[in-house]
Amino acid sequence: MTKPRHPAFDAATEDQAALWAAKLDGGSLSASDRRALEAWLAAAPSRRALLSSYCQLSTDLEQQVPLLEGLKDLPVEDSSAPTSARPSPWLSRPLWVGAALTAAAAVALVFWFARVPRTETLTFVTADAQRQTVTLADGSRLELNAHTRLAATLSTDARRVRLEGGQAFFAVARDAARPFFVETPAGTVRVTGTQFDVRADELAPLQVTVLEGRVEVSPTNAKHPPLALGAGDQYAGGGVRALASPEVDSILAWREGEIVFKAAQLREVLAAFARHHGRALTATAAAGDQRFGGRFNLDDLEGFLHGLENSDRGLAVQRDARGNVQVRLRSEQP
Amino acid sequence: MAEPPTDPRDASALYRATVAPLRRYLSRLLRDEREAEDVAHDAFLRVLPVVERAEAEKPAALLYTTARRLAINHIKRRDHAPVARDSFVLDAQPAAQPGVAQQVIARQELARVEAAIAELPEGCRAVLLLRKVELLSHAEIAARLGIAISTVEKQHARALRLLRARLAEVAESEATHD
Repeated sequence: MTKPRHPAFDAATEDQAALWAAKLDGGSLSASDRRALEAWLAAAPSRRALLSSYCQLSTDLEQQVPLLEGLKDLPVEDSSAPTSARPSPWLSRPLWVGAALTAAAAVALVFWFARVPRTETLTFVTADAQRQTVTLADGSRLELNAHTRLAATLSTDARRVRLEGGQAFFAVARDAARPFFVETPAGTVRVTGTQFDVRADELAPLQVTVLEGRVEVSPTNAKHPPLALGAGDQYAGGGVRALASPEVDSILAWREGEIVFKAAQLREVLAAFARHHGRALTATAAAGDQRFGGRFNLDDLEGFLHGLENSDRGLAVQRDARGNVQVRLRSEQP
Repeated sequence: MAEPPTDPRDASALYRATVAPLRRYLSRLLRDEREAEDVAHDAFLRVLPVVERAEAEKPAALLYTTARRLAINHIKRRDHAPVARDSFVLDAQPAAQPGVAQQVIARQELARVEAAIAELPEGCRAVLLLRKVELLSHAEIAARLGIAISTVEKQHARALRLLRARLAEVAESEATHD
């Protein structure tokens, strides 16, 4: 067989590195432990990297292990899948067994497809103030913003997602043999493996923001060849521009249930909350002109309104019986 | 205004009621808002399935306990002087964005980890799961299992050692098959 790629350490060094990593993770080092650790590290420079990789493994496990039990109990889409009957092999206490979640508050659905390749279309729809994360059979992950409709079809030669409307973030698993297409009414995005965001709604018929990797955008009816976008690029309104990384963060804030505004008019901020919650939120002309900036939790409408009332802008929030909200200046007559 | 959730299984109500105070609490502990958000997120991730199956008597208390334990792990990792950022020699790419990368754990990788854990000897697997799933410290695990702390440390180390070797082996064999 082939030789290992990594420099080999003797068993005693491996054992000691693992033991330090375990102590650092689950215990507390005394002063003499720390001195011993420093001496151990100083003896050979390569030990530091070895210990680092054990610490990294330990950190990764903290993330991964809780997900493992969850994967088994997920709703199985394929009724012939044999996984569900398997008893939990190691954990007798079923405390953590259960559905996996990815986006906080948004229930993640991981779909176990049949292992054999076949073509199947799955449709996902999100409602007001709801986000959803979906992992496709190829390992690609889709995060859907509220009011989003999409259908995913995986076949042996291509992966296609039809985004009828809304916004979604795509972390596409690399598979050069099966290009990944995101089709919207206003154009198509083609990728092989990358992370990017596509928005297709009334305010932005086709907006593509790339976090990592490369994609090609073909707007519907475009006369020009597909536009190539790299990391940090955005396609919107027919053109491509490079975004500063804070802008990219702002655009992707919805994935954490947040939205970022920079000196935006209150009516614009309210409109974003209104769209997200599917509710009527308005402001009087004077109140709507007020400018706000910051990162807001989109899910927390009541908290936002409460914050408005308690800001020093002299704003009052009025609610009617049907749940409609109007923001006005306190100096204005209701 | 904040009413207690009527349905104890209503995870999204728990989220809405606790996300802001939990983040503030974690910000105080961690002195870092971004990290506080990540930890809050991880804590929800762990707790929500339990809440949805109505197995938590006091969901908010479980959430805070879990978040606190995760935060302590974060703080401890910061103190790891030996783990200097530039000394990482990892196959894995560093996270472009914390939180995002955590979510982008491919299912295949999880399956490998799951298989490797299943192969661990009973004793060190139990220690590893108590540490990683229930987030117990070595001292707490020792008390729970009625064994010495030094034994817990050794079992934990053994689990790490075996897992690292096994995962490297799997990666090697996959690389040669491609």
